[in-house]
This record gives sequence, C-alpha cells and structure tokens, in this order.
Amino acid sequence: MISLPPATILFLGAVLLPLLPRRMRSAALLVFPALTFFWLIYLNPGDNLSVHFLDYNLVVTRVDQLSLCFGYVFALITFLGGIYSYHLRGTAEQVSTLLYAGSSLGVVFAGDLLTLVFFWEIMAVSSVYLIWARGTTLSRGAGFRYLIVHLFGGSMLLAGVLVQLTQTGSMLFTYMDGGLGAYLIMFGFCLNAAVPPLHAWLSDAYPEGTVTGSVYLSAFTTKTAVYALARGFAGWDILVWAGAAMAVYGVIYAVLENDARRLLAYHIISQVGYMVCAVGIGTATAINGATAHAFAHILYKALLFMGVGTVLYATGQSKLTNLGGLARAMPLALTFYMVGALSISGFPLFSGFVSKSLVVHAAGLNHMGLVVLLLNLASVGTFLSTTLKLPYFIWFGHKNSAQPSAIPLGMYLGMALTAISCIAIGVYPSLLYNILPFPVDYQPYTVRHVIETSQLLIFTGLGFWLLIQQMGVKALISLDFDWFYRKPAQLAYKVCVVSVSKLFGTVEHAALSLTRFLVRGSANPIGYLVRAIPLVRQPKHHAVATDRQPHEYDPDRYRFATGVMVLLVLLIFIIVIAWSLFVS
Amino acid sequence: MKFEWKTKYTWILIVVIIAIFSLVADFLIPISDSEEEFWWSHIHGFFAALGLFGCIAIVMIAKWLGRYWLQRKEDYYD
Repeated sequence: MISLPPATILFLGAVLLPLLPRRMRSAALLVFPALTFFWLIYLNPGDNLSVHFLDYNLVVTRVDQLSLCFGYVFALITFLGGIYSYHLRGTAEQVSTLLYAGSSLGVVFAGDLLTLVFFWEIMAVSSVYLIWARGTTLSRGAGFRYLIVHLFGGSMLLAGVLVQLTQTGSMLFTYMDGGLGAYLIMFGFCLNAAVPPLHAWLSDAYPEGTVTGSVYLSAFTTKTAVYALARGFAGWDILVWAGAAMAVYGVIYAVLENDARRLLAYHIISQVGYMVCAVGIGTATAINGATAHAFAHILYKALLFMGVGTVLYATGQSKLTNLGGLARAMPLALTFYMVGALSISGFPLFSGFVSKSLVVHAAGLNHMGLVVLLLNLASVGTFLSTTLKLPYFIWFGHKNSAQPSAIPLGMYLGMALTAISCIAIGVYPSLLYNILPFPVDYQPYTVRHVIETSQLLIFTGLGFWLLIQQMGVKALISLDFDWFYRKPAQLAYKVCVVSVSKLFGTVEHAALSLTRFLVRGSANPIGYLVRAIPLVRQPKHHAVATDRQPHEYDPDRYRFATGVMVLLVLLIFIIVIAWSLFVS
Repeated sequence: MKFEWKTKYTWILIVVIIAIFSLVADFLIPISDSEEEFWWSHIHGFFAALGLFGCIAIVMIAKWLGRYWLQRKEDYYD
C-alpha cells in the first residue's frame, strides 16, 4: 500500500474535489497535499513498486533521497499555495492544480522512463489550464503556445525513450551515457528546464497565468526537469556552461522587463541556471547544491509570485509603468515580498544564501573560476532586479496607483507561512542540509563568505543608486526566442487561413454572379438583352422582381409536411424490418 | 509614498555602516580557505568591485541590447 505512487492521493483528490460541496473544495486543496506530505515522511529510501506491463518491468515508484527531497517540497508548496488560493472558487482550476502537483510528484518518483513520460504529459496538459483560467485574450494565446511547445518537447522525450529502449533494452531511468536516445531525452528535459534557446515558453506563459496559478507554475515544471537532469545527466559538461549562460541570460532580460511577473519569470530561468550548472558539475556537493537550490527556490519564487500576485489581485495591474507608491496601502505584501527577494538574492539569514552558496562552492571545489564569476554576476543582477528595481517601482516610485481593493486573509496567511519557511531555512541550514541526497560537509556561515556576500550585494545597491535614472522602465516588450515561432505563425496564418478564405470568397462570389447571370438570361433571354441596353432599361420593374421580402417564420407552415415525411420514413423502416425478419 | 526623512536616513546609515564594516573586515580577516583559491582570492574588496561594476555592466549591456535590438512596442505581435 505504502509503495503506491505518492501521486495517488493528489489524483484521488482531483477526482473527489468536484463531488464535494462547493464551500469545502478549497479545504481539499489543503487536506490532500497535507496527507501526501505525511505519506512522504513515512516513505523510506528503497521502497519500490514494480509492475509488469506488456513484457516490460515498470518501476512506478522508486524512492531515494533525491526523489524524497523534491517530493517534500512539492507537497509543501501545494499546501502553502492552497492556503494562498483559499478564496478561489473555480473548480476546474482547483482540479488542474491537484493534477499538476500530482503528476509532478509522479515524475520525481518514477523509476522507469515510460512512467516518467506518462506523468510528464499529464503535467503539461493540466498546467495549461492554470494559464487559460485567467480568461484574457493574451492568456489564451500564451496557453496555446505553451501547450504546443510542451507537446513538442514531450514527443522528443518519448522518441528518445523509444530509441533508448531499442538500443539498451532497458526502461529503467538511471544515468545515461550518450547515444541518440539520451540526446533526445536531454532535449525534452532541457526544454522543460527552460535552457535557452528552448526557454521562451516560460517567460511567455507564466506572466499570463492566474494570480494563484502562476504560483504553482513557478514551482513544478522547471524543477521536475532539474530533478530529471540530475538523475539522468549528472556530470555532463555541456550543462555546466548552459547553466552558467542561462543564469546571466535571465538577468539581462529582467533588467529590461516592464511586466513584474515576466521579470520574475526571467529570474526563474536565471535561478534554474544555477541548478543546471550544478547538475553539469555532477559531484556529490554539486548535486546537493542543485537539490538544495531547487528546494529553496520553489519556496522563495512562490513567495515572490504571491507578493506580486497580491498587487495584481488588488489593483488589476502587473506592469511597472502602471504601478507605484503602494507602500502605505499594501505594507504587508511589501514585507513578505522582500523576504522572498532577499532570499533569491542570497542575503545572509535567508534561504537563498545557504542553497546558492552550495552550488558556487561546488564550482569552486572543481576550480571553475569563470563559472564562479558568472554565477556571482547573476547574483548581482538578481539583487538588482528583484530586490531593488521591482519593489522600488511597485511600492515606492513617483507614480501613484489607484486605491487597491481588499486582500483575502488566506493570501496573507499563505505568504506569511512561505516567508517563515524561507527564513527558517536561512537561519537553520541543517533543516535543509539533513534531507539532501548526500551528506553535507559545508558551512555557509563563515566570516569570509558573509563579508563577500555583503560586499557584493551592498555595492550592487550603490550601482543601482547611481544608475537610478537609467533603470526607469518603458512600456515596451523585448524580443526573445519565441519570435521564431510567433512571427512565422502570423505569416502562416496569413498564407494558410486569410488568403485561402479570401480566395474562397472570390471564387464563391464569381460562381454566384455567373449563376445569377445564367438564371436571368435563360429565363427571358430577349427581355434580359433589352434590359441590358441602358436606354430602354426599366429599373423599376427589375427591382420589383428581385426584392421579394422573406416571409416571417411560422411554426405551423411546415408542420403537416414534416409529419407526413416522418410517417413515411417510419413506414418504410417498418416494412424493411418486417421484410428482413419474415421474408428473407 | 514618500519616505519620511528620518526613516530614509536610518536605512541609508545602516547600509553605509554594513558597507564600511564589510570593507574593513575584508582587510583584517586573513584568507584561510585553501580549498577554493582563484586569482581574485587575495584582492581585498574584490567582491565590492564585482558588485558595483557588475551592476553597471549588466544595466549598460541590457539597455544597449534593448535599445538597438530587442525592444519593440507592446502590440508587436498583434
């Protein structure tokens, strides 16, 4: 019983939730994740469950410390998000949240590749509803692009799995050491991890999600991909550089960004860069770093999306150019947001400090000087955009937003608990270090490390202060790799839909004109020819002939005829049946 | 909202004190971490410089890329 996939409870919840009374459905979003969390606590490394399916041995549950660590934080954030979205009354959104969280858990406990792909696809399909539920034109388009990109990634993954199966004969999901199958699988994983140039779906879709949906979106998809990379591709050198590059890439775009939630989305790319880089380094310390950073990141990034989501909920705005001066009206949202911001920047006593430094330490131990510098540079950019720029323009700044509406208590409570967990990890790193896959031999709070981090961040603040005139945002968007499918899509739409329908219209019009000409011409050829000569034309007569008014609808008009028709059909039917039964 | 002057100066004072403290401590505390040694490990105040110049570089590069290449009007894709 205990070895059933931990996704089972959440899937069960998704089935039961619509059957509950409407007022209890929000509570279901707390009860099922809490049950899952307790289930996970009772799971031990080595609890596996295998089933036979079509000659294959599928390991639907495989428990080890790596999967447990991701499992804990997934259950935790589903619970915290459930508190934050307690006010929500959309059943479909609640069900897809449970399915999304459940399938993410399914991925991290999948022991074979087929089970993994199964949950991977459910993840893509269930999460897209969290974008569509916003109900705007922008969210509909972004959701469709998100779905198409993920189905493409999922197909690549499935293709890779099939190639891998034919090459090695094994379905087990373990370390992969090359071959076409492995490359295709890595492509699928990297797409979900938002490694540039496969990342544009993230910054495109996450800002268009619902206030509560984006909190979940920020947590699951990229982190399951980090888990999958850590399991299958630890130590692949290409990931070191891909990760370091994406850490800086996200930061550069965030400086330009005007939409607060898109700014945070670019910082997901940047932060996942640390994890991908650590996976590429692949030592025990690095895998610990990737796992710890994923754990901390899920909490503080959810908190950041909650904070900005609160502003969006209260004012209906998420663009920095439309916001400003909210500090007096929404001081609590600012406080909780700042906890998340200081955590993501890796400020001492906050969660990012103890997780990020583990990644940088792993790079340092391997003497990767350039990687250490790039990751520190990404820290500078993170502090600049999320801790200085975004709060400055939303809560301070010169503009004054409209008076915000009231915020449900649950949103504040969800933020408060998430903030507490961020600080708890920062103050007691052993809370996190003790559940990591490998024993940790590292102390983040050395005097030198604290000094270096303080210098780095405070002098970044000085740079911001000097450049504050430059930091002003404009109501513009930045081109990204989604250009490559959004612009051609417009062209394809013009060629395949607009021009075809125009051509159809022209042909239809021509055919109708021809028919009209033939009908009139053949009914009265002489008269038509005479009318065609302008001098003797009688326009009045012509007008009367064609201007017949359509009669009003009368239900009795066809009643009798229809009745006779039905009777005839029934009679013929009876005759045919009788014929086939008695005669033949 | 405008900060009250008193609060604003308190914050600035705290930040300046930490900045000075971190710089002074950098010179006083010997570098003992022999596991990770790089060319910058013995330069005092290196991370302060990285913070300041890194910040300026990121903003300048981003703004330059944005102005001449990346930024478009909001209805670009409509």
